Amino acid sequence: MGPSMSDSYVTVGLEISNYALSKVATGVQQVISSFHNDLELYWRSRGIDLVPTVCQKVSNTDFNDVLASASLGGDFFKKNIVNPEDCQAIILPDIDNGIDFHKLKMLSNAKDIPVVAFVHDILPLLHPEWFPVDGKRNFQIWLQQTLHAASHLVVTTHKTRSDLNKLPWEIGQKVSVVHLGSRLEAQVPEKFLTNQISVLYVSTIEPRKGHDLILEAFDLLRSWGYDVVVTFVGHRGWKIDDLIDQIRNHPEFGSRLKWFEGGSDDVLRKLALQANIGVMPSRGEGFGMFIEEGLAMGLKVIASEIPEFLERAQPNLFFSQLDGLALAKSIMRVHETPWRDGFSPRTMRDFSFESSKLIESIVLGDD
Amino acid sequence: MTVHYTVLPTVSMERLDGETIVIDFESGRFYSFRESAADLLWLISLGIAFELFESVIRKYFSVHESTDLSEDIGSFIETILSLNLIEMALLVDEIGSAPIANVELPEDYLRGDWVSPLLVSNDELADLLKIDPIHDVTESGWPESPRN
Repeated sequence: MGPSMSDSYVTVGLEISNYALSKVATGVQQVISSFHNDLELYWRSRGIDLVPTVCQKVSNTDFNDVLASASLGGDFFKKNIVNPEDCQAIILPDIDNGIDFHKLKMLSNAKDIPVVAFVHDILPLLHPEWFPVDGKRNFQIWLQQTLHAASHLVVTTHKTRSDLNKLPWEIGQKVSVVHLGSRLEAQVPEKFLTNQISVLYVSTIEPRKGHDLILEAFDLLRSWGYDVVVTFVGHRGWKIDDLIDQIRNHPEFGSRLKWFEGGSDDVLRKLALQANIGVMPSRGEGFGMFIEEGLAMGLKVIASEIPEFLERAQPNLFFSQLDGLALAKSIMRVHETPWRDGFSPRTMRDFSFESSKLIESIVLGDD
Repeated sequence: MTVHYTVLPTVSMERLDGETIVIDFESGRFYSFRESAADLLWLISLGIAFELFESVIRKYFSVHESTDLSEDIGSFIETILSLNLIEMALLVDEIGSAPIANVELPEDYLRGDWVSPLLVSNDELADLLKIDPIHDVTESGWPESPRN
């Protein structure tokens, strides 16, 4: 039986080594950022102290210095790092092979400390061709270590839970599903004065993300006489030299085809006001936050009809097959479909709140 | 009495697509075993009696007549024993000695001629396992890291 909520503070450590060293907030880092921003004060009112903790195998890094100069983390990183031995529960929110998983296992056994690990997806095991050489092996090493140490797993789609269950491994941990959501506040869609189709896609540029399909759809729509513009927002990933060339050498690049390699949330909102359709033609995702974020920014969103997206069917979200022609036809059809009012997409606050309930039940031993 | 081998409790061993990754949490070392090596580990993980290993292997592989299969298997077992990944157990009864016909190797890669089992190990754990497996590998792949 875990500690009672009426006792003095329960300390929950959030392992932040990888997060603290990150300069740019990509998907997982955005999730971690929302998590501690949403939960720190809320949990304090409930007798839970969420603290940064570090549990690395071998490190010459002074993480106190790292936190002091970190790009991410905000006020959360002004708190002192707490040793994992002084925590009543540990959360592993990220992929990090440097974590001392065996120490966590020993701690968990000795002090009955729950270790809750987030597994955002297992795509490197299922589609190694989408990742750098040996990404699959490295990821498997991380997942095996995580399964050694964790007492509970949290995934963000039913698809990922299904993928884990299909591995030919014995996974003894309970696997809970908590959907992510939009970090952005909902805004009213902009009314266009013209019939222009303005497409926005926010994503790192990687082979699996489907930028090639958007380019194909873009060229088809132009050939059919449509007034269409496309905006990509995202940093470059790996294995995409050919795709980058295709974008930069496109005859419309710089005019009807634009690419911004980064952008704050304010920039995103402004770009969304200039768009009317968001697209998410990814071949595989852990979650794909741009669906909820696009909807929040007032865009009708077209996503590929893959299981991890289909399980989040909702108003103003449409699905397309994974080819340029189908995407072009979907864009035409959705452009003529009116926006449905009265519905707001799921938010990261919803995710944080549900996660907090889950972790509280684990810490209190009610799970 | 039959000889069996068991995986030590401080060792993680998982197989995917013909490759078994073994992590020894005591020493901090990790290993990759592919194909024939992964198959021998599979037999160990099932608790199959050692005396049956050769028969099972012959069922799945073409073994050249010049190959000393018994020596290959024995040498491999000695190697992973010396690495403290497994330990030997002597069992009095037949528990774990399933009839050969019931022993199946995973159909996760294409088998053909028997190749002596190999393992790949990495001792530079501190550097290698600090690599973010997705974002930190260079184009030339693991175990190279931009931080190196």
